[in-house]
Amino acid sequence: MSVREKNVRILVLGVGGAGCNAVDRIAMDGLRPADAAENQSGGGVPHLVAINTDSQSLSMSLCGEKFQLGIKTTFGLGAGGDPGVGRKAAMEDRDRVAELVKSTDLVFIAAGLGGGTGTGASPFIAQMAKQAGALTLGFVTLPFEFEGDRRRDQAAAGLDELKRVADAVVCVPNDKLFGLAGEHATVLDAFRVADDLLADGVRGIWRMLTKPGLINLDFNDLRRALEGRHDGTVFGIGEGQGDDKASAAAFAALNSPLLDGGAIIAEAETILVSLVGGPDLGLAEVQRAVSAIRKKATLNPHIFMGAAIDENFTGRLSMLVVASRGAPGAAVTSPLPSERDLAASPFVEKSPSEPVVTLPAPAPPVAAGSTPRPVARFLDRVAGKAATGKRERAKQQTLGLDVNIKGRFDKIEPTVYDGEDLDLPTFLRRGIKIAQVKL
Amino acid sequence: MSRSRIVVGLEIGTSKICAVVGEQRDDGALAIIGIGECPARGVRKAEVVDLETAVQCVHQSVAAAENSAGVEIRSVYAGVSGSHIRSFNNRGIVPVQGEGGEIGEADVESAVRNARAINVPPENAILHSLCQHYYVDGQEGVVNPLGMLGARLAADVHVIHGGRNRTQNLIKCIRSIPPLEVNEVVFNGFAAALAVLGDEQRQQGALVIDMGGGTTDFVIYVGGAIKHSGVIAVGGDHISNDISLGLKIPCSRAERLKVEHGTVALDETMKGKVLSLSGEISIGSNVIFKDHLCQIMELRVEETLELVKRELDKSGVGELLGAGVFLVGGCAHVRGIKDLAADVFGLQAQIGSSQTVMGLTATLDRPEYAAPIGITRFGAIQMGPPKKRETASNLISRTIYGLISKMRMF
Repeated sequence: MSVREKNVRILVLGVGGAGCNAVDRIAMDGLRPADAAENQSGGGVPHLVAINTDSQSLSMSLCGEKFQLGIKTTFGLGAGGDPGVGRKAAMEDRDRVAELVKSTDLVFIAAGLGGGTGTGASPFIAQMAKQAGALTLGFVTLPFEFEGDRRRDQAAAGLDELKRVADAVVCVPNDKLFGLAGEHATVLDAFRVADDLLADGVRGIWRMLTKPGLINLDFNDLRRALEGRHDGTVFGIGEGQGDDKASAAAFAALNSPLLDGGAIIAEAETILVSLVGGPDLGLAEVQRAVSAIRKKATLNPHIFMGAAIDENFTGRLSMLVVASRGAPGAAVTSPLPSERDLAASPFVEKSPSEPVVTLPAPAPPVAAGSTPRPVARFLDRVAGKAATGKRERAKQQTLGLDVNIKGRFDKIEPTVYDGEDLDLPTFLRRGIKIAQVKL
Repeated sequence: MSRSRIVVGLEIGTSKICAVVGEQRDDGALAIIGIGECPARGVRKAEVVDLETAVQCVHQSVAAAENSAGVEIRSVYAGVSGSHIRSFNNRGIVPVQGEGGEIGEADVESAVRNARAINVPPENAILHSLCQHYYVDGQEGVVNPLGMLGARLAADVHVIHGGRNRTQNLIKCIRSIPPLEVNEVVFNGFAAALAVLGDEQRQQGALVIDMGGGTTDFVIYVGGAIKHSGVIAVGGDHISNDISLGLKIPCSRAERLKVEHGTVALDETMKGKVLSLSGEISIGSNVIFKDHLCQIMELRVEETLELVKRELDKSGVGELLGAGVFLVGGCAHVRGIKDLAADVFGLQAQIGSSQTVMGLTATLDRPEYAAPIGITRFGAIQMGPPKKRETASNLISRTIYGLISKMRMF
């Protein structure tokens, strides 16, 4: 009937550098002492899996379950900013991906578009999830302008592809985040805000589905609200405190600079409103919050609403608004991160407990148990996000290997069939060992 | 007979460049009277990558063909292949314009034109548009609609198209040797099918796989018409390359091992068997085990056949191939490939031989000559049967039927 009875299996996949950072943020919720009570009552964090081609960056992820993608394609070095490589890596592990998404009902795919792994692999993974029968939601960021045209074009292509296969794609153009990050924000700050947003969106929907509520919104509501909405799915989060916390939350959600002052709501065909409040949450407040949203709507949309109770939210109210319209070309926007999340710095929050590294069979040994420190986190970010540095490094390394691996087909147009480079020897692609005996 | 009865097919392949000279007899039959070939250089995956070197090879093979046939070659039909070749099926529908609802030549032409009008990307040009069958007012499977009565004529057409510039490069390569001219360009896979399939086999349904040095071309015939065709840019070079990388030996040695010892029929007896190449000093070189060599080959060949199988499954006519699989091209010489193909496709398989033409039998039996012979046959068909003296009305009706039968031929 609902997730609360554990009939619905939810899988959150972070694909690529930014995606892994986003699931890291969610994984940290589970490690946070303040949320211990939440863990017991609400089932803790969802089933999180970090997926990346870069084994070094993956080894630094906090996420409990890690998935090394395309070891034969990238040798664990990352996709080097090339979506083709990312896609090939995903295809190489077709069977393992299928196994991962098997018998799940809802799959979130969080990724930063523009690079190699996130852009190339996530549409493929989304497709596998869809084929497995899951409702598939993409939460993606588009690159900052300063990341360059190439990444922007790659991101646009990846987004198109993802929209084709996923049930709904919520996308966050990173450029809209400059205001949020502040005037003097560093590059790292900007990327962190972007990662936080991805995490927020996923967490908001997951919370809505799993917390016990006054008015339950369940999986079927979500499915009805989002399924087939390839364009223009948008969400916003707001929080309110004090006497009139309902109005404050609605005001914050609607008037966030990212939601364009509620203009998107006016054009929405389906609106899903989810409230999370403390045990003191009254029906009148729920009523006030929802009607504030309803007033903004002009197209007489179908409104799904739910209200959940969480002791951690005593005295405050968090509001998630998901608006969808079917028409193509809808403007995309992104949620406002609540103050709580912005305040939660990864540097202080990180628990020194050892993450469990479970790598699937053909992956090389990675540094298990490396304690995430601020420095490591810093490197992680630079490796996963800062475009130029990462690309160059990966390129140099793979180039050296490519020469040996393609033999006489090294410098000519590759034969690619279903994303597989057929110029590579079949036995290599299938991982069959040919023993060498030297006299 | 005059020069005009001579027709030449030229295939610029990845491993060899081959010119085949045919002569059309008075009864319309084609006889192969000469052949010239030259190991190809400057060609990768069936596409010219070094124009100058490739031109030299074309020159050599054409000169050899002239010597062999004792004729002067002025123009050729050229075979084309490569990963840029694509195909699709489409239906063109037109209202019948002919007088009294009688379907005329113009109607047939515009239906075919309609069918080929869409879908081709701007950088590609159509190589062939081959009529499968017609529908007259919804009546299925009309073979020849000329003269029939109807309001609506539909034509199902198989269109093969390829990169405009890549095809032009091929033509340029040939034309840079005066006085050579290119009459027309033919898709190699289609040409190979023309050479090995008879009418009966085309009716029964057949899959022709031309596995050459750089590409694997395939054509699927069902009910007398082409249903699907395409190119997978994997060939014998890939097998050698795999061997070279897997056993860590130079390419030339890998090539010789493949030819002298390779097989794709794996069995227990080859385990641990050490191979040596005749006349080779092998101090310090790796020991080559036969099972390793053959395993590498088997994996590649099987994979390539499976990719063709995937294409066959896409077209959904796997059940309808009564005549089975015909293997041609250099890779048809690989030991055990016939049985492997039979396994992969679940159909009977055979090595194709060019039965549809006469002439030098030593040539016709060799599967690697199927494509150039087919190109020659294509040229002969394009030229039409030899002219006889005839009355005007006879000529007109023959021209029309000639046109129709040409369309049906493919």
